[in-house]
Amino acid sequence: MNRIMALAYITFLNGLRRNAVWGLCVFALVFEICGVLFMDFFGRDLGRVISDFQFTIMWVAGMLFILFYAVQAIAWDEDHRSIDSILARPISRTEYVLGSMLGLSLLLLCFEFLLACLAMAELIWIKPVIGEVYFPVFSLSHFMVTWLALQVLLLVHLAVVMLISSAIRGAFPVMLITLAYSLICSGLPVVRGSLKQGAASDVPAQGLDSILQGMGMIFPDFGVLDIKDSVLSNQSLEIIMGMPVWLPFSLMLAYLALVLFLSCLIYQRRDIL
Amino acid sequence: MKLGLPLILPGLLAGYIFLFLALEQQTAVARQDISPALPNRVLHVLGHSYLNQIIAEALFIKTAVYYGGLEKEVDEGNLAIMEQHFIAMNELHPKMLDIYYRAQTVLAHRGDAYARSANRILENGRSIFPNQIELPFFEGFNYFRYLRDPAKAAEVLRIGSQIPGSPRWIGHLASMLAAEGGNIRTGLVWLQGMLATSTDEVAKQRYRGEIKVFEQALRVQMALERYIQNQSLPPETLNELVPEYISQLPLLKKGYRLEYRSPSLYLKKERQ
Amino acid sequence: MIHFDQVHKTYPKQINRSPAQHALKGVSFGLSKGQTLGLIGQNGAGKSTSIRLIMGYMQPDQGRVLVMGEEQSSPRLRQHIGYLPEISSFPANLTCLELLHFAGRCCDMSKKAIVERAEILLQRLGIWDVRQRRLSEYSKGMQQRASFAAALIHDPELLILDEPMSGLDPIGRAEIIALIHDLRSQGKSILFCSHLLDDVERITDHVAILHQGNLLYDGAIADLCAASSGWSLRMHDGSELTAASQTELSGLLGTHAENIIEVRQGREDLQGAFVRLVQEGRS
Repeated sequence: MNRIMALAYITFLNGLRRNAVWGLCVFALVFEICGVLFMDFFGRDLGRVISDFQFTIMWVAGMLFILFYAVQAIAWDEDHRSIDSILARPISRTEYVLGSMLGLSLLLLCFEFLLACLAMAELIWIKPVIGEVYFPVFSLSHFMVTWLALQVLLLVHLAVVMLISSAIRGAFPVMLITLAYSLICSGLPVVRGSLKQGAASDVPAQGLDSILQGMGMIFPDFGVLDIKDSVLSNQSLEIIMGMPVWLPFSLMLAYLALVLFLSCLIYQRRDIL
Repeated sequence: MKLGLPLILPGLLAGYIFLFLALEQQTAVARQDISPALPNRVLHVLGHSYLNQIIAEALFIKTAVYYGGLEKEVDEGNLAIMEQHFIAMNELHPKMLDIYYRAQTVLAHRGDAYARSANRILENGRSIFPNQIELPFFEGFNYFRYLRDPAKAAEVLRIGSQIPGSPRWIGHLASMLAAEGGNIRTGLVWLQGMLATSTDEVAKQRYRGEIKVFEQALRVQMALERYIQNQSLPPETLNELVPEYISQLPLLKKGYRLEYRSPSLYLKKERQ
Repeated sequence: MIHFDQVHKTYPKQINRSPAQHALKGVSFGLSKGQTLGLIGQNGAGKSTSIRLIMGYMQPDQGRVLVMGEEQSSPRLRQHIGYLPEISSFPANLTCLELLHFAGRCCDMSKKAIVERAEILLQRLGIWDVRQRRLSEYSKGMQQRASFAAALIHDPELLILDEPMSGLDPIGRAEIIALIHDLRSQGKSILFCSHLLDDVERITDHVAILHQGNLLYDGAIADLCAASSGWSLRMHDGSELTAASQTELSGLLGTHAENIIEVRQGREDLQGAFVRLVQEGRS
């Protein structure tokens, strides 16, 4: 644990001192402030629009961090041989994977926390300004759960980056494959939806649906963690989500654990060239 | 060459500005067209599900900017694209109220097809926002005003009237339109319900007068039904019902009239 | 401390790239406790592969690599190993002190011990004044010294130094050589690679020479250099005769016995011996 924490600490510090990361943070904060201007285009659902905008910025910033910083940071170790310096210590490959993952996760969470604080402050400030009609409900607890859901989503993507990096060398291929993975995850539910609309009693279609369902275990539907609408509702999360709250969270965390386990397995078996 | 050097930069700038303005003039006409949105499924995939709402909001801004910037009435081609946008927005972000308002504003009065399209969107909205009074009102209005289907309008307005906080005139309108759509019996039942639940004496007085008219119309309706049952054919005029099925055709209160379009009977309220 | 036993390692064929490379072909050599061994060879001889096998970054295809009596697979072993890689690379935005703290923490050193040891090492290596600067701002030589400090922070028994003099100026080189001598006198076992054969001769008595994955020589430098260097005979009249072999020497001694003043055995330097061995290896 000590070694995992030590590696996480230097990964975190290294990222914290990267100007690119701060640049991304500043841009994201500026865009969040611009969310106030965004609502000018809408006539009625102002609260919803601002809330959507803030969470979108957090998602985009998180994904940019993962695709452009995290991928590079992991690839840097092998491309520039700093992995030799790290693994020269009594650190196992598993500890290396977990330490890197922890460090990058902490960096991401700190960054997202900053964005969340600003988003929350904006929403709390805007609500009385624009009035009850245009922004009837704001649920702080739901905001926090929605933010947590977003973080789980981003952490799963980060874990996938670790997995792909364990098998493939080079930042660019890893980034491309991660993007492809993300597109498959978002496209699979659309394909399944189209299939269901097409033929309810068609046996070949049912067989295909089973295959797609199986694929859904590998390429999960991240939409289950999209609970942005709950921020503007007083209803319980179970009703909004249509399922117990713990279920999608547990599923994604289990998926994350599996992915990390696979990464550790691959790292343990491969030669560090 | 040396003499020419100081002239090069201003010359380049002037040329660039001239070309820019020329292009602006060309595209000013072209900007009267709105570009189609990507197919819904593509938008869903690109949106990674998490961005679906922002894509819908971006499309909303796009349509708002286009519609607000029009110098003349929107043509059929662009209207069809606007319709595509609203359908896409509604699928991506069904919980955004503005889409329903905007669809109603832009589409409903443009003809039958667009009114139906607006109503499909509004019907979807009703399932998402069961307590939003405006949505069934808009939908009912469209059925009555643009689609000339008072029966369907009545059905939708009745749903709206049952929303807590809904004004009583919506329920009243539903009753009137039910009768206008040929469902006199249904309209009467609703009116009786409104009488029973009303606490306003003036309104109650009014309802009683209307119930009387509806009952008169219902008697004619029942006579018509007996005629059809016996003769297996509807009458050509209501006069054929007299005296066997009804002693005489009622004289309705001023402002109401019975309209017979075989085989259905409609109770219409005259509008000033 | 280190024992290579008939080790084979092949890099597999890459798609659209070079064919399979046999990096090591049945190599056997060893490093005893307290010994210093120079591992030398041309580029592509298999030196880096050998080091990576020792450090556990790769596994041999055949044969065994034993480090401190164990097959090199447990990270725990690295607690006793100090490794200076050929290319010094670290997370660029760390300071030298932070790097040493990380290295020390990984070896379960206390914070106090790390601080004390870091001060001693950084003073000795001449980078104490720049300890708070980021490693990305260091020159190549300073990075090399920082890397050296990280390799020594936990006072390991076994040191593996891959091109320790790389990037250093002559004074720096002298300081590192002095440091390595100190470490030898402390009883550390040292395996190091270097292309600077003069430095190898100065630092160590034993070498292992690799060429295209084969071990050409493993033994004392003195024996290697003396192996077939010939003899020279100085005559009364000042002239010199040479004998390439013992047979020739015997013949000359028989013929010119009364006129011979001095018989001297020729000695190649390591550079010459290395080149000769490699040429013999090629043929």
